[in-house]
Amino acid sequence: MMAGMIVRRFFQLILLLVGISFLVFTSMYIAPGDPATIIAGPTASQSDIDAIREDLGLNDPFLVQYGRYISGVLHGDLGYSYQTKQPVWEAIMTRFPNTLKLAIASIIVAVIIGVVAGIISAIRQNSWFDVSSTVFALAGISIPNFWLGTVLILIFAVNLQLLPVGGLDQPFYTAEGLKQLVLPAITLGTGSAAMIARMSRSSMLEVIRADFIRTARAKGLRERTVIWVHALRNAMIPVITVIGLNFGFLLGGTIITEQVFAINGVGRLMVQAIAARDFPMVQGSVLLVATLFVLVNLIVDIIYTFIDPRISYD
Amino acid sequence: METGAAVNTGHAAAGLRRKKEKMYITTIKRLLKNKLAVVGLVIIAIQVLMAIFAPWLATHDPIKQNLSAAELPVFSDGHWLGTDNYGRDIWSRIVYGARISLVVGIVSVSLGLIGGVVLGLLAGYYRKLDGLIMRIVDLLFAFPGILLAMLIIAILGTGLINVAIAISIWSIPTCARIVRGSVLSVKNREYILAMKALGASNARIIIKHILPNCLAPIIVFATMRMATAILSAASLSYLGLGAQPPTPEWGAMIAAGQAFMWTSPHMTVVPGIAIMLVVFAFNVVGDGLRDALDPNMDINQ
Repeated sequence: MMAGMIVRRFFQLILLLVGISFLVFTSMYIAPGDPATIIAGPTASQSDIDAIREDLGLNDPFLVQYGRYISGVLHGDLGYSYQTKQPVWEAIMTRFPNTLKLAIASIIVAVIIGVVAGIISAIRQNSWFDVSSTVFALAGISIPNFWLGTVLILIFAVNLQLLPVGGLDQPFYTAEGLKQLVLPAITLGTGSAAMIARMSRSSMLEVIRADFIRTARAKGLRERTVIWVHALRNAMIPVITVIGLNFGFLLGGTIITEQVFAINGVGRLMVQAIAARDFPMVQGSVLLVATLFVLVNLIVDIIYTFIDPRISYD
Repeated sequence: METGAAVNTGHAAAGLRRKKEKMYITTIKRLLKNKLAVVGLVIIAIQVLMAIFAPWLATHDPIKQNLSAAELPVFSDGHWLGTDNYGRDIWSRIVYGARISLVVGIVSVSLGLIGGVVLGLLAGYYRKLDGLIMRIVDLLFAFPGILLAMLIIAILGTGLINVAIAISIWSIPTCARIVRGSVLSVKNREYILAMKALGASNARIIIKHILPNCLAPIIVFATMRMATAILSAASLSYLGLGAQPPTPEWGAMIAAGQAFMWTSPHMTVVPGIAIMLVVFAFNVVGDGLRDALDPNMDINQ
């Protein structure tokens, strides 16, 4: 059953990836601007441009070009940047670790703050903690994260001088590297923490009213055991989906956070590439982030069925 | 016989209209009981007023430079929110920025709704189109929203109008799913089958009888989407992909202010608060509307 589900999901994944690559390739194909002219530069003659055009296979039919791009992608060849002439794959891979580091650090921040705040809110419903965390959660969803990042820099880097202003060039296991991660992770994680907190709260509220919790209490179990063992396990099921969805959301959010903290990641690369109309670079980085997003969602779905066997995707 | 039927339907229609009016009134009453939603409504009203009366509310020309009054702090004489590095009055820029953010929000949400409603109705009503349309929707869902918007900006080029279009496309998949779900839930009800038996055209059934049933979830979605759209437009402008200088757009103002954080933090703080208030307002009103339109929902959750 489970194995069948995973195989089926895997085939769906492949179809989806084909769709994504087609959409991304088509977008760049219809985008204005002739690649040959861009590569040749402003001083090139028409015959130079024609030569480059022939060389790149830009005169071939659309589907042939798409096929060639896909076979390249499968071999780790995403083409060359118009701007730097560097291989796109190489450029992305040198920046990818930073993006991943940022996304993982942020999801850790978001899960810890979100789950703890949500649960405490639920077990002390309508207490001052609950009210203030609900207000914070609403604010967390509404704060533009680029602005939050700027304000955090202003407070902790400019005024208090406790943490660095930006960059993410030190290894994460050194004190310097960790310090560099703190502000970006909080900046990016706050919105997700708020969503996770709201979800944990409502899910926990539902579970602690259930019969089996009353039974557990009636058995004379300590309140701590009831909440953190019996209730938590059941309350976490919907929360995991929210966490999974948020991981994807964070991957998108890194684009902005990298810009705020001048972190050399894939997102910043993408923004620069869009501004410079460097299509192979845009294509490659969008493809990578979208693929990761889809993979994360698939993993969340699979974890979901493991935790809650009642769920099936038939 | 024929006139009798007409009178009857006339009666029924009038009754229905009264019932609908009553429903609107109860919804509004319930919404007004929600304190947060009322705060949100007030903020939205202020933004709308600022947007409409921008030329009268602004004390200065929002893009006119005055280098002799550059980087004045808040509560300066004649510039109560201070000035930026070019000596432009920040209050006036905020007021015009309210107009930009509201217009971009409305345009992108409307475009997204049109696309989403049409796709959702077609997918829900015509079985043959369902598979194809929903696969396209799934494909759009495979992109984190901001990424999809950036891909579209990469095609169309930077600028505010392109940002609005990019954000609208990102609303389509969610909206299409909501509408499709509503259509499927009413499609086989007796009154729809009766309309078909009476020979009503598909277009008439969809527009007059199915669409009104989807209205509540669409209204909630649109309100929440305004928050996302305004936030995303500001983010894209912050990244330099949206409004270009000297346009008084809030996100672009924050980006410009970052370089002056040491000397003039108000250049970044003020527009940030503006964005936050507006996004917060649309979020809480959306939440409130959802609770008000669906009496079965537990308000505590």
